[in-house]
Amino acid sequence: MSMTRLRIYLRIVKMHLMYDSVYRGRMFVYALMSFLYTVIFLAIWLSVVGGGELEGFTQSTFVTYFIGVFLISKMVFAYGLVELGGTIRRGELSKFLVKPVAFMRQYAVGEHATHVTQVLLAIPVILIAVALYWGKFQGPSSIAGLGMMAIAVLCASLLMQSIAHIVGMIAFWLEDTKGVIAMYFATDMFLSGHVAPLALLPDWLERLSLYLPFRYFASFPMEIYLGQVNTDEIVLGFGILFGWLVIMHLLSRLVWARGIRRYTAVGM
Amino acid sequence: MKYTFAREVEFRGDFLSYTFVNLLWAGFSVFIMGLFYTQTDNIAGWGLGEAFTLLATWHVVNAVLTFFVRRNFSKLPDEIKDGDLDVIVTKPVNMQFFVSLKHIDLPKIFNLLFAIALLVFGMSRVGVGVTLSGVLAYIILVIAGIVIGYSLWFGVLTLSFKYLGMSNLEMLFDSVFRFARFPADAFTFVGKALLFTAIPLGVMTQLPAEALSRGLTWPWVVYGVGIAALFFWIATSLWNRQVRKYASASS
Repeated sequence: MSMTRLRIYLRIVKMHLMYDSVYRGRMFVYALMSFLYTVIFLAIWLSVVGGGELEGFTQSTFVTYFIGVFLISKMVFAYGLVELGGTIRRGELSKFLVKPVAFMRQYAVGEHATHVTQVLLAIPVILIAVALYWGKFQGPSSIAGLGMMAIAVLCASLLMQSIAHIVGMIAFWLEDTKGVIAMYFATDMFLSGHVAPLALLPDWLERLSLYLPFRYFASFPMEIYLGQVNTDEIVLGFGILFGWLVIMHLLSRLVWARGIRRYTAVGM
Repeated sequence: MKYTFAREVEFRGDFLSYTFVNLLWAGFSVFIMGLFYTQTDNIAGWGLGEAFTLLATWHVVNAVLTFFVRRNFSKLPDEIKDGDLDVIVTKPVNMQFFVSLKHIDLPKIFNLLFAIALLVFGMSRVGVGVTLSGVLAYIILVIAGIVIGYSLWFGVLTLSFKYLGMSNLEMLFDSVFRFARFPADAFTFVGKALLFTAIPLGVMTQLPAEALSRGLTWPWVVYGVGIAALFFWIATSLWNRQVRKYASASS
């Protein structure tokens, strides 16, 4: 990467951070919102499990799992997806196209900048949660596990970007993408483990989720952290994750190449 | 009303996809509740039937609120930001009334039907006979619940006078609102206390559901109505204060 390139990327990051700080109310709302979701599901599961155990999950496993999933989602979630459709439909894509970096790159770099803001906002929230559930928060099962978890989160973040591109770019063909996006988010919430740890889903759904990309957005890194997967399962998991990463990356390029040919903006 | 309907029918494609998405989300909430009950047969003393009655009540309140005010409320932060409120200030009607009920959202009728079907299902699983006084208490408390939901939402919206550009306030409200899909009893003591006082979402859905599925003493009904009146008063005074301070962006 040349120096000019790097400067351009840094400029995009800076632009996004400035944008986020202008609308800090909005950013704060996003952070608070996802935390509330986490708290609801955590509270219900704690009430269900009581002093007992469900499929290896005790009170403290649930607490650790949900706080972990919350933090991971801050680093993985595609915040721009909701706006991507509008950007295409309103013809605002043009202002990105004239810039000297490919649109998908700009978009991805911007997303990662937003992830930084979101993680910063999440830290106080997480400290409060850890204090609330003091003594129930479990450490990582091993240092190696923590490292693998970090790699898994990084890959998941890239995978989410590719999938978000594909889903968002449906706007090249459809007027209204809200339905598609809503369906995508609903599936994601369920099969990534945001509602319940995947082990608690009905068996057929749990088995299916292993092979779909969603598990890698939340559950998989936490399974590594909690030491719930053995070496073979970790290797298989990374295999599937890398497979999806390659497929989705190629697919997103293909969809972009097809879609951009259909794109005409107002005023062009 | 006639105008709104005509507008809906004109965009039939949107109408269908919008209805579909709404019902999808509603079905999703049933799926989630069902998932919890695959692992247990009661959550904080609430059996499957009672929990579905509660969820149905949430959908009734949500459908009615959405039918009347959602579209208007979701546009409000931007209207305040862009100074569009000027036009309304000059109109000779009660401003709160106008910004709340400008457009109604017809497709939500289907959500209401869905909610009623779910309610019937839930009650059939409870296995307790429905009494006349139970139904009466339910209706009163659901109306109180709608007023509470309206007031909380409207109260939160007054924030957008202070913090411009918070177009996602609606999403924040939605996620808080979701607490009411589950029995307040399931939360820890502090949580439960909050849900019955400061953020009375428990009053909004748990009380009516209890009235129907378990029978509820009348002091609770009075409490529900009282909370509704109090929160409506708070929201209205917050709004009036902000409107008086409102300086338009366009003038």
